[in-house]
Amino acid sequence: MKADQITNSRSDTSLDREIEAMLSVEPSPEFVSRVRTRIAEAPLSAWTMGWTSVAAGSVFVAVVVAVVISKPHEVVPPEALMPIARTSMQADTPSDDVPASPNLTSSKSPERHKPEVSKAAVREPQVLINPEEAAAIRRFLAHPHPEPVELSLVKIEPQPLPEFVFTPLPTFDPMVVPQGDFK
Amino acid sequence: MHEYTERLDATAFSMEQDLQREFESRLIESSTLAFRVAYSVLRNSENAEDVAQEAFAKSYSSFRRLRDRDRFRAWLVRITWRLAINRLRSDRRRSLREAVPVETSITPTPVQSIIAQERATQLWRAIDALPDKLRLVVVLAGIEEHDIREVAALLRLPEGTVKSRLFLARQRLKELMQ
Repeated sequence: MKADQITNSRSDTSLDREIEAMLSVEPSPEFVSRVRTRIAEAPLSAWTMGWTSVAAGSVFVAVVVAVVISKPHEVVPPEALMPIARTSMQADTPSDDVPASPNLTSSKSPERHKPEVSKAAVREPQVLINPEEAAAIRRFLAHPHPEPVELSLVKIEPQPLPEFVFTPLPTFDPMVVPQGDFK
Repeated sequence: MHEYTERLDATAFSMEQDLQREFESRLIESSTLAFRVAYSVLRNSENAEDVAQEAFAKSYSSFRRLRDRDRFRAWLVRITWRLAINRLRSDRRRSLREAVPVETSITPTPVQSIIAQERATQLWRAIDALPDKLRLVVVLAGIEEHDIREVAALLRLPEGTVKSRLFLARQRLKELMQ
């Protein structure tokens, strides 16, 4: 009972004092020197680690970006596309692999020319187009003057306008507000 | 060119020295604060020193952005508190805490000592039962006789918030102590 009374009458200040007394513990005299020693052990690693990691990270990012940029985005099967430079110019030639070159007429064998063609293809960028488009271009080049289309044969009949029907607008009587006390 | 690099080196060196000097002064003025914050959680001097030391090591690594005194102390309190809580959790997990006796600074006559120790144990239990927000306010108010303004600066909170938290904490403590 007495203890209850004591605890009940415990004021804020006495509580604060008690907590202060409980927390008035001092660190050992060597504490600060130990902190100094610990910090002295790794001053460079502490302050330069940040810069080192930033540098390493940026190099890694640069490498990744370079790899991504240099990598071809889409792999197109070679049979789906054909070089326009060859197909358009040699539409009538039986074989597309043999380039139209004046050297072909010479006495040199085609085997000796093959590596040269592949080298040229590697050196110069090829314009690749769809085979259907290539065929169309080939057809166009085979027949450069197609017959003109007779437009006068196309007749457009004039269409009659729909009949206009008049519908009168509805009318309304004016609204009558009844007299009365609205208070 | 050579002179320029030499001058750059000298500037960098003096900056490092300035930083070292500033950190040294912060260490001296805040070492007890960090230790007591850790002690309030761990209730063991050795562990509290370890945690405070770790907190200082961390603060040293990011001291360039913590040069402001108030900012540094606020940061130190937060990091010490967090490290101490983590340490306590890991200690509990290892069930070592039961083996560590509770320390008290009050050591008068044997009978008084027993009573005081009993009361301190009871009060610590009550403080431990408080939510973290209230607990930290009570502890900081009890350390170095910090007033509400100082506690507010350390916790980066408005003074009104600290006042109401302190009031709530005292009420809860009184209830728990009954």
